[in-house]
Amino acid sequence: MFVSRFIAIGLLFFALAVPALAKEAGGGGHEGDDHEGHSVTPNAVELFKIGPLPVTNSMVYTWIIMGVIFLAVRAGTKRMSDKPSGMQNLIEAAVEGLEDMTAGMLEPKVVRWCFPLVATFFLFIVVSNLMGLLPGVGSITYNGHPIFRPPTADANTTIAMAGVFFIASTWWAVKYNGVGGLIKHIFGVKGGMTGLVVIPLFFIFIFIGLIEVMSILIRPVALAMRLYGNIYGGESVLTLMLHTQPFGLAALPFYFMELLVACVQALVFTILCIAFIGTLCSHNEEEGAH
Amino acid sequence: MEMLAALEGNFIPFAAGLAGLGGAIGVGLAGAKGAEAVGRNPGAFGKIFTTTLIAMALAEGIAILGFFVLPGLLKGSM
Repeated sequence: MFVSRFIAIGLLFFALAVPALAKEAGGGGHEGDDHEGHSVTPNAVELFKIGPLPVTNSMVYTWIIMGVIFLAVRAGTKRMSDKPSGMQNLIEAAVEGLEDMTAGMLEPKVVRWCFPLVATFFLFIVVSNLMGLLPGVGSITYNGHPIFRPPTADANTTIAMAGVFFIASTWWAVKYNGVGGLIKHIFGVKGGMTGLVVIPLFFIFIFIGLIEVMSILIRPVALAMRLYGNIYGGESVLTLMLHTQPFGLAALPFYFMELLVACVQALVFTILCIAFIGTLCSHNEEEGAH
Repeated sequence: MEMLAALEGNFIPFAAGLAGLGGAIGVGLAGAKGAEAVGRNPGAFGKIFTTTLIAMALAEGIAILGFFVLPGLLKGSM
């Protein structure tokens, strides 16, 4: 399980670089130039280039967050004891809590496949959301651009994560059902009907299956946009409140709300991933029979 | 009448408000029913919480999608 978790993190990191290249190829991304002082740009601003690869401020902060997670895990697993305390306790509580949650919603076999990916999503998102609220993020600037930006407030990161989830969930669905089984799962007649009734129902369920396919395809888009919209929106509100009020006092209640949103959105992303995998990898027909 | 004239040809900000309103009503309903369910059966908190959170996220998703689609429309109309 430890190895597969490493693979998941590596996949995540790899996926982060791909949209940045795509953005470069598109030649866009110049909206950042005309931003006013008191607003957050919708896209992450490019800071410098390493060869052909543009480095944006959200990528820089992603590296810092990865370093923080890495050091925290190192500190927690350095001297492990049977009676966990401190960092080890925190990590064990987080991992066991996530495992309980996943096991409560999926079959044991599917839990073994998807737990590393889902847990990685949760830990990465919650750490980056909370670190996005630290002072200095967005206010330390270089050439007029902030050098830190929470990665979840960058659509590239969230789309990459949703893409990884989509590919992985499709792979698991095929592995669980088989190709024919997956087609039957989506288009097949449900409800345990037999006899001549099946013939008209067959066409209805083909139509329902087409709607189902559409909803499966729109899932990653909604997943990515929900996370990006929430965190970017929260960042914008905080920046606005800090700059338009005396002493930025109006930002105080919003900081409490953003603390809540940071945790809830990480949980939402994770739970939705689990639920979507659950709809594809389950034998609901057999359960309905008895 | 004057308000209608002012709105004429530019219903998009109005539509943004409607998208937010719809999402807010959906999230509120999910939260209210979730709280009711926990009140009735506190033992099932975990399952209720998960279901409520999924329903909230799906209701909120429409408003968020509107948030991304509407500025594009607004740019096109002006």
